[in-house]
Amino acid sequence: MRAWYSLMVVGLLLVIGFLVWRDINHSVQTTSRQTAVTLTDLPVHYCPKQVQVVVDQANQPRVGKIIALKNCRTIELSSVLGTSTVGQISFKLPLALPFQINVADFGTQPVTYAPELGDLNDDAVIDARDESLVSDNLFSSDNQFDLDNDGQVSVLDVALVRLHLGASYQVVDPPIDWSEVGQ
Amino acid sequence: MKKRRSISSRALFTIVSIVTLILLLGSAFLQRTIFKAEQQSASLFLSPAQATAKPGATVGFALRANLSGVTTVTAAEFALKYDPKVLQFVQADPANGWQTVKVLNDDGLIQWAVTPLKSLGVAVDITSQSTFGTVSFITKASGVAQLALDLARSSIASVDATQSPSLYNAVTSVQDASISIADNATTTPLPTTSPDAPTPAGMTGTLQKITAIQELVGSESAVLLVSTEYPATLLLRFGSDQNNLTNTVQTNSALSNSVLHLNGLDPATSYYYQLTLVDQVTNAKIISKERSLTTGAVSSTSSLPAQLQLYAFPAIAQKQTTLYIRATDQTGAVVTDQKPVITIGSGRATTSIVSGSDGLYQTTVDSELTSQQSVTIQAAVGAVNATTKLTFDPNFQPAERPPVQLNPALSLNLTVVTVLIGLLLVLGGLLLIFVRLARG
Repeated sequence: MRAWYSLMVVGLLLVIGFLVWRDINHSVQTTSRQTAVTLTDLPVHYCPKQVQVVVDQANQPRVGKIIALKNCRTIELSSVLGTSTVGQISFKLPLALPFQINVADFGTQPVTYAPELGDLNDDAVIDARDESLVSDNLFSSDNQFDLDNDGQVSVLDVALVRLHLGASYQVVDPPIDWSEVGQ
Repeated sequence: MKKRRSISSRALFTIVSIVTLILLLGSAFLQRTIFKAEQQSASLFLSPAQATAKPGATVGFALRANLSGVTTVTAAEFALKYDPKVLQFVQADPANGWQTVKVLNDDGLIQWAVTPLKSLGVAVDITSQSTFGTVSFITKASGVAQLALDLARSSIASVDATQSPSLYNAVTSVQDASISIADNATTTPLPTTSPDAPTPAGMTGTLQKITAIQELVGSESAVLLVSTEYPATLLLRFGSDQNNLTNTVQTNSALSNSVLHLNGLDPATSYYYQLTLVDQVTNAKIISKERSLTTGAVSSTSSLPAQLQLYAFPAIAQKQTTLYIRATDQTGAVVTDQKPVITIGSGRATTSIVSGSDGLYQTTVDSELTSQQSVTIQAAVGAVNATTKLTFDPNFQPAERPPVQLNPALSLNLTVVTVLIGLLLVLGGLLLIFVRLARG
């Protein structure tokens, strides 16, 4: 019987310990500077391996590099952020509109972003031309137009473009030549 | 005397472990099931399910869907297999509210994609039973022909803004149809188009987002009127150098309608800005795209405005709202130092002194009534005037933030863990009683 009491006490201590650890861990996470961008609202099969990143900071030369994504959804920026709190970071994911995040936004709160898929012609705007490109290739398996990476060009790809129609990217000065970034 | 059998500690430990495992998996599974249940499901079918026709007759099948609820749809595609020896495909006609994007007919397989009509927007709400269109065939020879919808290649691209990803395929099942072709058969009439046309989608969800940004510029100041889906605090970074947005303005309290004032600007100058929204409940940041605005040039030709723009923000308020007035000449340049006169056209409300001098003016409007009322307000400078209407509703409450489920993966949150602790304690107590009874 004593063994059972001990087992229950140990079990309870473990559970309480877990809750306390979880709480402490959470508070530590929310007081240190966040260095990652979590991508949300992307199709399940869309799994980019890397992202092109360009860092513009005042009085410093522009830095462009390719960063590998963690679990297809997390961009870890500790290697480019440093300690600076001024500047902008531009991102380009495959088949998506480029987007920008201010360096100052990397505070203690998590940074999330929902990229807009559908900029097939890389003209920094999702419009009827992109919709036509997908519609013309419907029912094929051309991965150039398979936005959600599910293996076929379907209305789900058309839908991704339609939902983002009109979205555009404010071109930074000087403009970024994404074909050169990380090459 | 027969010796009573007691349960061994090892057996009890095994039982407890198994029960705990079941509880853990059960709770995680339940969470996943609840998550899945929030998305609508659709069953595609052809109507009529069984048709008859004479050889050489034209027969049509309506392509319909049974949905578990109102669904926001942005596109749909169907793959339909048929026997080309018995049937000849004629055409695919979209139903009212839909348009064909592409239709392919190749060796007994029709692939057909439709989207809502442009006039209805990018997405539409469809009801629990909807018709997408009609597929027509000419019967070629006697016999029985099957018409089979291909589940793997049929999709109803639907949107649920409460989930991530928000886009999903609602089709979960399909039902086939058949046609009997005989010389003495009566041809089933072509189905009539269903009257249940799709309606423009509300596209409202529970994800936090910026729903509108209204820019009002004077010559030396600007005001951003920002509406969000749910209460949030806002941080604005702005500057004339696109790569160096060093100036910041932020709101102190979480509101659904926030006002950001940008002061100390230069006339006729472009400024770039980016908004960061911090959700009141989740604390997650949502960062807007970078935008730009240009301050007005000061009018050099006129001392009186040719046009007034009048905005009430918010347009629905409990007791107080703010009016913003912009005065411009015929060229669009702002007219400074011409404070407009505000008058209440209808309704009971009071206004305060108009402030501002750079072509952008503002004042507050208050209502002391305890019941809902509409107020018409006019702003005038000389003979030029503008009118707007606003509503005071003492019971008006902005939308509250509903709970958000962002991650469909298995997870044990604090509530589940707490419930499990309780269940484990109960289980432990029961086992203790059981052991005592068994040994006693």
